[in-house]
Amino acid sequence: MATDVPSALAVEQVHGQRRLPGEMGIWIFVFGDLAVFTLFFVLVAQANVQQNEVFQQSRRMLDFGHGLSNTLLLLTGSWLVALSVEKLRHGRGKQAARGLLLAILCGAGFVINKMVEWSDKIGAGITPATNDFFMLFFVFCAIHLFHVVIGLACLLIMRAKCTRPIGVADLRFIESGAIFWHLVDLLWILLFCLFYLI
Amino acid sequence: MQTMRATIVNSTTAMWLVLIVATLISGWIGEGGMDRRASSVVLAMAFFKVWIVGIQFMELRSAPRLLCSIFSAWAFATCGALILILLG
Repeated sequence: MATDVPSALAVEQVHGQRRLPGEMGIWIFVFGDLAVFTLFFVLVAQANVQQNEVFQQSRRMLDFGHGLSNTLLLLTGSWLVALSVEKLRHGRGKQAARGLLLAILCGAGFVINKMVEWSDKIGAGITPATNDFFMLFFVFCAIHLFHVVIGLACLLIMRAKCTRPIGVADLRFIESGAIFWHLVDLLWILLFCLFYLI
Repeated sequence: MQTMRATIVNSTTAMWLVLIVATLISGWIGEGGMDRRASSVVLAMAFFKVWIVGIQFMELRSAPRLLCSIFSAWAFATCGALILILLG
């Protein structure tokens, strides 16, 4: 049975001023994923220093517009998800569902953009076998893209939950899904910087 | 209550605007090619954006202090390590 979410949150706030958003499990996953990606980032930075000329030339072959637009799409998606969670906490399920739909469109835009970018590259004969830069670029972006697809599935479930009365457990699930989506955004910010900018 | 809600929405939106502007500035600096020092500045800006995403969007600002501290320490340490690698 659905409980009054704002009241339940108020009780939690009384017991402790600082509240853990989402479930503990999602935070364990977040820090585990961050540890793995930290290794990836170190690998890219080291390869950049060791093969600087190859990296500079390869970077010029990337379409900067694709990288920038994908960053803006994920940042906007994250913002919409954050606003939706706030709306939901204040009992505005319909507005939250609308915000999540827009965030899903941002995520879908990212996937389409990535597919177009990769098609262009492969069409021009650039593959992971071209050099170390493109090997790291394709592999790490593919791992990230897998995160985006999982995140989109979470957003779809979150949106479905918003359209009916929700309880505290549902809110916890939605908060956890939101945290995962922000992780996807956070990881892309660094991949964009390492592959397209520096 | 209305004021509190407006503050929450506004701070989230304000941080989104900061993230968008920082992205455009990094893109403008990075598009033309950079030396190692400029690369370090752009990398530091990226980690600043990451920190905002964590603190504001992931709501670590109101989470237990330990979680918030671990995240901030990770961002600071990883940023420092990558800059050290880049600067050689």
